[in-house]
Amino acid sequence: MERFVGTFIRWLITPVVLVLIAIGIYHLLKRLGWKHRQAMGLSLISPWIIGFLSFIAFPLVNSLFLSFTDYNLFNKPEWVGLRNYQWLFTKDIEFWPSIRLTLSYAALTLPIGVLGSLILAMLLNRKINGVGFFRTVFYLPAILPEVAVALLWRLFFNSESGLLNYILRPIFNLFNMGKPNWFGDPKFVLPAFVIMSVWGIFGTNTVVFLAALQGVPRSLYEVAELDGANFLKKFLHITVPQISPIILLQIIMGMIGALQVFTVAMFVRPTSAAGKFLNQLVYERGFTQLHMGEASAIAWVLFIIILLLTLLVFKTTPAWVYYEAEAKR
Amino acid sequence: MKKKLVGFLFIILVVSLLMSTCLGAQKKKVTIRFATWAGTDEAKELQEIIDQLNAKSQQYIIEQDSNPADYDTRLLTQLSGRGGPDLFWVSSQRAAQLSAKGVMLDITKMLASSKHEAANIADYFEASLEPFKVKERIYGLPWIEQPVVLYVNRDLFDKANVTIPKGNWDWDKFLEVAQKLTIDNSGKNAGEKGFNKSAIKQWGFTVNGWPPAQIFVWQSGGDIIAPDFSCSPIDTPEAIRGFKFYADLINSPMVPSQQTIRDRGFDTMFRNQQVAMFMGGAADNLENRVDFRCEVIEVPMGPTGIKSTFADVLGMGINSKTKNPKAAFEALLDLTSAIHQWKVMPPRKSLATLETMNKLHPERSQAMQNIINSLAYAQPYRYFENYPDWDNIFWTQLMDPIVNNQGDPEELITIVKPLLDEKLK
Amino acid sequence: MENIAQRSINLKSSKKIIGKVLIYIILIMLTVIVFIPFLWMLSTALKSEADVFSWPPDWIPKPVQWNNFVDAWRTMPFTKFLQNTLFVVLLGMVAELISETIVAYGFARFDFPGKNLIFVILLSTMMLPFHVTLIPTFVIWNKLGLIGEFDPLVLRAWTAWGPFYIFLLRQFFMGIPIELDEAAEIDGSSPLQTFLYVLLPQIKPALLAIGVFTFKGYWNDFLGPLIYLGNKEKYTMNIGMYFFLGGINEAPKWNYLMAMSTLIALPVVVLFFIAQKYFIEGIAFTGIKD
Repeated sequence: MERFVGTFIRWLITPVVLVLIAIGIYHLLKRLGWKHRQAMGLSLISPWIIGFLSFIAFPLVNSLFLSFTDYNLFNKPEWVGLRNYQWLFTKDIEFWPSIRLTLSYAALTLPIGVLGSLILAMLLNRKINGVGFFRTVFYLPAILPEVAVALLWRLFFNSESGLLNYILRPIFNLFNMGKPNWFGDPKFVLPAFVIMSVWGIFGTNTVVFLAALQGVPRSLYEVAELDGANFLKKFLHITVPQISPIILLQIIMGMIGALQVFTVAMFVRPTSAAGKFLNQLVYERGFTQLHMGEASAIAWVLFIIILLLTLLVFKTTPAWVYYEAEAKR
Repeated sequence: MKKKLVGFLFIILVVSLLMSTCLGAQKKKVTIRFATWAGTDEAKELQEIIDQLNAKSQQYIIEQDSNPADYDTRLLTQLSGRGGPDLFWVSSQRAAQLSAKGVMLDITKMLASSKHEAANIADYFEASLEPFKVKERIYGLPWIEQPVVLYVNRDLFDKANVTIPKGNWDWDKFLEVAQKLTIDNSGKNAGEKGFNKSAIKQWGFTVNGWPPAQIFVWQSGGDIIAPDFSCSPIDTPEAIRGFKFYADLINSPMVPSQQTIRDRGFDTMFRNQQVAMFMGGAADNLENRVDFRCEVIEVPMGPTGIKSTFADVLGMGINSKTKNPKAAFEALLDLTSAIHQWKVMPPRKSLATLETMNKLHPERSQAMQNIINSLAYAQPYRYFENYPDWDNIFWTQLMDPIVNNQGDPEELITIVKPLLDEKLK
Repeated sequence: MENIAQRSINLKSSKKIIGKVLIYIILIMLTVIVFIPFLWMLSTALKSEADVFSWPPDWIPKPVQWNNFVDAWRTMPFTKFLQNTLFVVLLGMVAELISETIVAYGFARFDFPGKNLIFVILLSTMMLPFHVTLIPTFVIWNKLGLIGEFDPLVLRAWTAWGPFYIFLLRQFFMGIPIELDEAAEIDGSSPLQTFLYVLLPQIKPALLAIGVFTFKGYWNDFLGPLIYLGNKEKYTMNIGMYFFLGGINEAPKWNYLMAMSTLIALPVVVLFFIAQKYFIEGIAFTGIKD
């Protein structure tokens, strides 16, 4: 047990220090003329700010700096200005295919992920026998080790003996086409990944929606039913507005997740003719080829893409996200 | 009473003195952190070796830190963040990179002044040291050099009435044998009339990017990277011939489709007797790990009689930031020498004799002569500092289309050669 | 009149029954899809090493190797790994739940200059691929002299290091009407009391969900333990499991790997099964929302 003592003591001290700092911040802000609630707010979030300043800010800024350098992980980074970006945008043979693959993947999977998990959550949000069993089963994909799931995909997508081609056979016959070679033929790599992403409907997303649906008051539906509203109307006018804050969250998280696919892609290893996902490219450039400068540049391009898309989504929120806390001010 | 007490105290004094000197001696030993990618069994065998060395050594205690998962990410993060192990296993591709960047300690001088048997550079096969050399300085030592050999299923050969080729055999003979061992559901082989291509139950050979195309290019007299690293001469007629032979093999009925290989497992198909010949590393020891009669022979030679095969070289290096370079160096020599007794093949001329190897690995007596023969002409790739950049283009632009998409080598080579040459500048 | 009313009720109830049957059919179909990998994992876990890649695959191994679980457990010091894992999970989960709830409360219920900017920065920390921040983070812990300890895995939990959970809790807090706070304040409760006794009960489902997520996060963490622990004494179960991946000339032991995966997945399954019971339709915690 000796091996736990040191960490445990430091783990006990850390929150005490954080609380003391928070109290200090509160008094400092009050003295600077902030209102009580303003000072209170900032001190409440101060633990995160401290964590950010001490552990995230440096790596973040550092990677931005490195994206303007030639850096091989071991020697001093050498400033090269915009050369990495210039190379990526104009000469790199892997960059644009990678951007195209990653963005198309995100565009195709995001709606499936958000809508699918919402519908599934609504199915699971009923008083039916055995619902606990179903909920647990549908959470399983989030628990299984990714290696196990990736292995299954390889069997499932096998063009000659996989289950998928067996199920889809009638459709192929209808269009008079052969069995697709899912991971070997560049045309089919993206569809294969989209089909795999359906898996993402289950698990975390559904649980989050399920938790959100708990907050929609039953009485609202009852009133609507008295007015003769059908399922669709209830869905659009009650469910969606009531859980819109969580839909917003799912869209943004889904976007971040889809644009950063990594583990499955590394394990399934489809033909590289279809391009690689951006995160794969970051890993290979950084850790296989030891060009951390280039890797950082790709990472920052990805970062900017995600940030812009997120801000865009946030800009639209006043039109459709309904916050109880704000609405009644 | 008093006497007894005095005697007792005296004994305590002596014992504690003895213990403190023992502890003191132990304190002088420094801890050497040693990172490897070994899995369960390998890590256990390695630990036995380490325990013996630790007991013997006055200088160091080696602490094994093994994990096969994500070795690259782990090692590079720790090394770059200056919290790396003192000693670590390294592939030859990485070794070329890390030596050039000064991450691995230059051990040239230490080697020259050491009398340890593993420090005798002249005893190593030239090819096995190449990845650890930059400008005639040495940055690490190889602990294994395993040539690619051909594992054959004797049961299937007998069933098809084919004798196992011995010694010098060429591509034509190889194709002939592979054809006879490719059999469809009705029992006809690929050379016979009425052979059904779409109902094959046994294949002569298997390729999925492994064995590397390099082997066949070398055998036909071509090269992949020029010896002076000036270009990639893959457009010479010899090289093209090698690539074509490779591509034709992949697209022939003698080799299962890539889908089938992915599905049933590359080496698993050989273990399950669905493939009759398999090229593998000499250390795979397949002949003792399958439940049929399996033998090891040399790979075929090229059409003009050139013998060549690939050698996988793995080694060990010292972190140049280590606090105890001397102890780490002793540990490196002792470990290297011990592993040479453990693995097939040791990259040392004095050990790679039939007599010595048969003594160390009596269970591999059938294979040993052929493995030793192969070692004589085996070579690693021509690694250089930015080899991974070159390799990325080579695999994604040239080999992947050939292996997965029936790409025509001749067409691809004209497009890919300039890209490869650029990475060599 | 009575008849018509009766009939419409019958119609309604038969419609309901059809609806229920339909839901069951869909759920069972989805269950089958979801179950396939789980069954495959379980079946691999029970196979002998030679049968793992038999073709065509057997779903029910013969013979069933129940001792794989025991053998796999004994191959490595998994009891020690379990202690380490429980230690990390407990410390991390507790610290994260507390700190993230407080920070999310701050973002949801208070206004102060720069709040929106800080929130965007918080979200943006999720947007950079982790591989480019791996090394600098390692350097920081190295400077603190805590490499090889559990600290890098758990200490930062106090600083609310899961932006997703903060975001999630913030959204839940913002879904609660502000009148609830105001009413409580009029009744004379302090902000702390309001937070603990009025708001927290409202977001219980979210807290439960996050409890499960963080538990799973620490339980399954891979890269952290791999890079920071650097000694078998301190390995967690998830890292220990990867020993079965084998090495250069050692084939992976898929059956052991899957046996350990199953064992590792079990506690999370049980935990979730318990937690989900509290997800009951229309909990409708207080009168205000109705």
